[in-house]
Amino acid sequence: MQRFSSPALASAPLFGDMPGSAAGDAYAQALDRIGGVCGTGGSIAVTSAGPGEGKSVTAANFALGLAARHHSVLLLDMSFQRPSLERIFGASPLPQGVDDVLLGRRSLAEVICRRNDIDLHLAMLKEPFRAKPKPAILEQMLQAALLLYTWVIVDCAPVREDNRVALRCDAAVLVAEERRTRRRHLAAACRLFPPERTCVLLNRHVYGA
Amino acid sequence: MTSARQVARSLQYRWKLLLCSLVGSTAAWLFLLHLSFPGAAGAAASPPVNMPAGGKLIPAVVEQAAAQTSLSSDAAAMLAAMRSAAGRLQAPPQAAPTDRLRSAAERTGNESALAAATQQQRAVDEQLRVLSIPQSAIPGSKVVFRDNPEYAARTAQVAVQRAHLAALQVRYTDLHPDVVAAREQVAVAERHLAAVPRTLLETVSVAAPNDAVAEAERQQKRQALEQQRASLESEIAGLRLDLTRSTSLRQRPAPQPVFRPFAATPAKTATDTAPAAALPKGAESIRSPQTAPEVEGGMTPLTWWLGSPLLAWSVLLGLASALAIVGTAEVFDRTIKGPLSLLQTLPNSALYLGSIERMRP
Repeated sequence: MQRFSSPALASAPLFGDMPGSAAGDAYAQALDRIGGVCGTGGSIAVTSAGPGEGKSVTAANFALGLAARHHSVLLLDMSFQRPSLERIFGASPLPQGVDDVLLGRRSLAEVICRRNDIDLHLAMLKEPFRAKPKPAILEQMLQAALLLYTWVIVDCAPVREDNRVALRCDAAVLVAEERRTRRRHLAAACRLFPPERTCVLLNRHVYGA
Repeated sequence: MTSARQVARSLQYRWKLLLCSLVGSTAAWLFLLHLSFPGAAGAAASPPVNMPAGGKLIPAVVEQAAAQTSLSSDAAAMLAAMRSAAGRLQAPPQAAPTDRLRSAAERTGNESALAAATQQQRAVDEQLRVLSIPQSAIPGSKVVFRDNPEYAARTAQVAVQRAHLAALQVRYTDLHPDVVAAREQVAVAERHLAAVPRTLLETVSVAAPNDAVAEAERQQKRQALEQQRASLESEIAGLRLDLTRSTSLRQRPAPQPVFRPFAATPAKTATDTAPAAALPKGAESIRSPQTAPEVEGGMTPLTWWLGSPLLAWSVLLGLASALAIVGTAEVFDRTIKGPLSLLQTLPNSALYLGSIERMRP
């Protein structure tokens, strides 16, 4: 496992490991509620109805929050069309990525890297993945991740584009952005998952407006 | 209360839409109103005092604006005519500043020459008076004339003060305090000079007077003095005539109807630096006859246009239209507007994790 220390972009609001701040407390509260759904571990798919509603930032904050609680956590980038963890945490030092695992050229352990400053393990896509991944490989990859880590946070594609990964996770967190996500799209996304394993997070809420 | 909060929240989210629709609908209403009332553009901002009771606001305003426009055009034509007449009447004040200064210097020279001629005439009269005394009344003596040294000194002093006054008059007008003070000093010096005789009479004793020769000399001298006196009188008359003419031209009052504040201001020029307190009331408001206000009544084109009822109505209608557009957009908005809207959308078994606050830059 290779360590890297690329600086995080300032535009990514990361508060998952900062309890005390309003956003950090909100993420911690959300993690507590997810623990009620998944128990002591499992895979959590962070997805949304449409693109650009804050999935990657939410997944990163969940992973940071779990890492701050000293859990074994892997943040897995499975947003095939628009991989964005690289924008948040910086580029991976590895020449290979998750796309190589999806193509069957590498194992998952070979594409995991770890940041120096935070105890967070990441598996990132090197570039947008245009091919259609095989369901068996997806299943194998998720099982391998759960064997290595207690928690696997999967940054998924929007469910309107691709819901195969999210449907294979233990729980799904649907991120809805205030004044952007349409109600019928959210309702349709909720109908895709089993209701008892579906959670919804309201993002970019304006308090006191 | 809740609806007001919802409206405020909606406006907070849709301020861009509100701004764009306000601008667009205002422009559209302006265009439509301009097509409907083509004469209303640029009408005056004054309230329609004589508005008919029927409530037709725009035609009344248009009619009033047309009347005001015709009045203002008539007043402008009258002002131009009166200014041209004043320009013809006020030739000396509208002349070049150098010409005005030159005329002032000439007047000062005339005054000085008149004073000198008057003094000379007095001296001649004195000499004639002395010559009229019979020589036999002064036995064994002879009357002789000698120049008065005090007279020469005072004459030199008057000349110096006149030169100083002329220099000041070239630089300033007659109302300048330095000019006034110098003129007073010259007048005082001239009064003192007039009190001093030019020549002194001295009686000199003679041994044997020859009455016939002396009488002949006296007659010749008297004739010469009388000729000199006549020429001095004609010179004094001419100088007084010139001085009267120049003074009357200089003190001509300004025409009453055109520049009323200047009517009571004697000979005010552009180079006048007299303090405002010395000027009559209202004269300090206008410094030069040529500087008339560019826009009458303090009305600039911007205020004229902004005050037009057409634009005001357009802005009002545009604001109403923009609010209607925003309200319609809010009514037909089907996005999640908050936690309550989200909970209404979710199925009962779905778990609501909470809300993350919007991060402001």
